[in-house]
Amino acid sequence: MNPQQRIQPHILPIILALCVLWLSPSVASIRGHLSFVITPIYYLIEMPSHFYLWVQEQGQNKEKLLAQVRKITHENKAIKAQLQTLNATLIELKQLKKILHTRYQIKRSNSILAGVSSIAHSRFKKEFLINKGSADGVKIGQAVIGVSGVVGKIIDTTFNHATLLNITDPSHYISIKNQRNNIRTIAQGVATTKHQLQINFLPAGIDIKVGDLFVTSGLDDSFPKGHPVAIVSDVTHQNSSFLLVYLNPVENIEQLEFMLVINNQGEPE
Amino acid sequence: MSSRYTLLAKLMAIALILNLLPIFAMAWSPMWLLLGFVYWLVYAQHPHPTYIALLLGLFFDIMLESLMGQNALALIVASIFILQFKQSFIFSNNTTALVYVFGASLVYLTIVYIIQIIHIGAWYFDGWFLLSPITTAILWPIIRIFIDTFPSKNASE
Repeated sequence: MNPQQRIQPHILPIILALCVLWLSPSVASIRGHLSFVITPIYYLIEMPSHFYLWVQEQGQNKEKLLAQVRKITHENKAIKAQLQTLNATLIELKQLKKILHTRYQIKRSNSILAGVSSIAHSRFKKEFLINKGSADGVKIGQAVIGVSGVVGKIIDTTFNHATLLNITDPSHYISIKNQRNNIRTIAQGVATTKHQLQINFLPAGIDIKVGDLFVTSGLDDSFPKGHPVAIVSDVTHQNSSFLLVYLNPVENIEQLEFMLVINNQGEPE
Repeated sequence: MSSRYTLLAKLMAIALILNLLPIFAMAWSPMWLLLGFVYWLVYAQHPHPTYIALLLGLFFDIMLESLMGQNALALIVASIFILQFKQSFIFSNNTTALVYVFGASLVYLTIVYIIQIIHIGAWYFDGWFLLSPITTAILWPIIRIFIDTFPSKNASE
């Protein structure tokens, strides 16, 4: 048998194989239809590794599992504690964002961001201790403002701390003006446990209504001009000639946490 | 099903599993399909072995997700190569048979290589590919001894 005769019976399979190769992209979808054949084979191949893992799992003793549970419980507690810290940080961040918004109205070089360290609050004494002192540039007489309005002024400083006298302290006076009609006057803190201010001896016929907003007048050299101070809450007749006006501070002093200590020259931009 | 088909089915099942094992997913891995088929080709008498090669090759193309017809054509050509030396193969010692298997592996690999170059459209060469025919040939005597212990070793009879 010569080589040609030997090859002849194999030509057809070769041609068929070449045809399949030629049509390869078209017949490739056959694989998808034959998945039911392929899947059990793959399962069979993966069986030894699955068996090994199963044996390994069975071999784990109770102590090891208990140790794992303890570890996971401990981790869970740590994560919960961390979450609480993060929540507190988030609240703090929101307050800082608010105060940052206020800070844009004041020359940056003129303000110092401070936080409340402690509060001294009684009928006759409404003071804060803040966490910034003379080392940070805080000086006696500087005005302090919060997110919404004026808080008070610095009356004492140490190296790391300063004492702030609240505008609602009975010994504190502030020069203010009515935003609606520019009537200027002086407000004083009231000697109660409430955070309130009062205006005495206003002429009876003066135009003041409940809800009027009073802002700093800028006349006393302590506070920058135009910052909100308080809103009129009550207008009563002291006698036939004078009015007694009560005001609620714009700044929510009960919830105060951060504030800005500003220079006397810290005029709004 | 006659015993020669039973033997072929067993050989191909083992070859397929070995091919799919991750440990053999290397460039130097032996050509299990070729090893099994060469054994069957030599010791099981079949009137149309290349048609069987075509079917098996296509089956492996599907299973191994290679280009359809690639293994089929390579297996047919490698089978024709072995069939040219079939008588000599049967009566030769292990060393000579090893050389034949190496030759068939090279033929197989070359066909696959050419198809890949045509399919990709770019010339590439990785020297590690040559290790595969060497490992295939080295394994031949071991495979032969191992398969000879099968109860259906006289499949051709």
